[in-house]
Amino acid sequence: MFGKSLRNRSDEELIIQLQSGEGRALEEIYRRYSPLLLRYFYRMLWQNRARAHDALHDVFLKIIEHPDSIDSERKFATWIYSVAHNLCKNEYRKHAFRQSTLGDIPLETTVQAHAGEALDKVDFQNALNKLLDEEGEDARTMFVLRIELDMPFAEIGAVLDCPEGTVKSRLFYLKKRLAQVLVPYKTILEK
Amino acid sequence: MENTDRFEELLRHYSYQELSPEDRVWVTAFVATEEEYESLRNVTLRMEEHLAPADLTPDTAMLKSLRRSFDEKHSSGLSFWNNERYAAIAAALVIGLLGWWAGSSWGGQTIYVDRTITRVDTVHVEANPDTIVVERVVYRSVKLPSPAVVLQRNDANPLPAVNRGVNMKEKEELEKLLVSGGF
Repeated sequence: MFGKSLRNRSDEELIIQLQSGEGRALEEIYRRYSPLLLRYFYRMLWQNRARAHDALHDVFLKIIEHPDSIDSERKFATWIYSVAHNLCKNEYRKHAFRQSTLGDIPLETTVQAHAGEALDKVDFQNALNKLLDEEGEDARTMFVLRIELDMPFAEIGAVLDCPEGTVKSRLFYLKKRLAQVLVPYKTILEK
Repeated sequence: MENTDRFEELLRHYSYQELSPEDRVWVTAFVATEEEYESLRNVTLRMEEHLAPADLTPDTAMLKSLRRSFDEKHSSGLSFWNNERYAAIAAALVIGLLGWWAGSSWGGQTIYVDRTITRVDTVHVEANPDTIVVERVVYRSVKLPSPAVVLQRNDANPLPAVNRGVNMKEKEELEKLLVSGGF
């Protein structure tokens, strides 16, 4: 095990090293998971970069502070996305509370001086974001894990603690709904 | 929904026109029309590029900050034992030392050698004393040759020698005299 390169080690091997205080194992875990987790949080947390970065930081801080909480019985990828999913749930609760007291928090919009096709793309993006935000929390999570992160159905089921067949079925009907609603953006979709 | 995987594969790789006649029949279990198939295909193909922005990448400063937190947490003395490499070396050393110690104390083969040991027993016999010496002193009342006057004095001065009691020597002489029957 000592002679094996970090990049060739499995997640589970890296976690054992991390638990024994090997800092380079943490860096390797970060290199593997941070880009996908960031995309996940960005999608799940109202397309807000700052929030996505904060959430990413929190997940890794949890790994650092409580390495023993990592469930060695589960695949690490499943475990870390479960943690990410629970963190999003907490954020939704906080968000609901803030909304009831301070009003809505606007989504991050990057609309600048777009024109023509570029503007269509921004519109499409916003429409898609809005649609996904209107979907239930679990449906959105399934969609992001599958489309953004290309996660296998079985693993999505493990993250959300539901059968693989349910994931497949719900994702299929979600896509069908999206396809129907996004018909006005046909020109964008066909390019 | 067991065939969703295959349906997704078809969506990703083939337009409706590219599907074989058998596949066209097969996909009707999922979509009713060609138009529905194509719109679903477009959504599937375009969705990913329209989700997260391309420039969304993890902050390098974040990794440094996390690494600092990690190092702080593991900077205590216990981290030596938490590090599997050091712990393994330490365990090997301890096991080696224990083995060496056990080998030196218990591990050698026991050899028995016949050896004659001469032992001289000393018996101390204590003889009982067969002579008993009993010293016996006999006092007898004797008549003094002249009447003794005993004056009782109240002063602290010792009595004159003539009125003192007899000492041992005098007693002995007196006894000899009595035994010999003199007077």
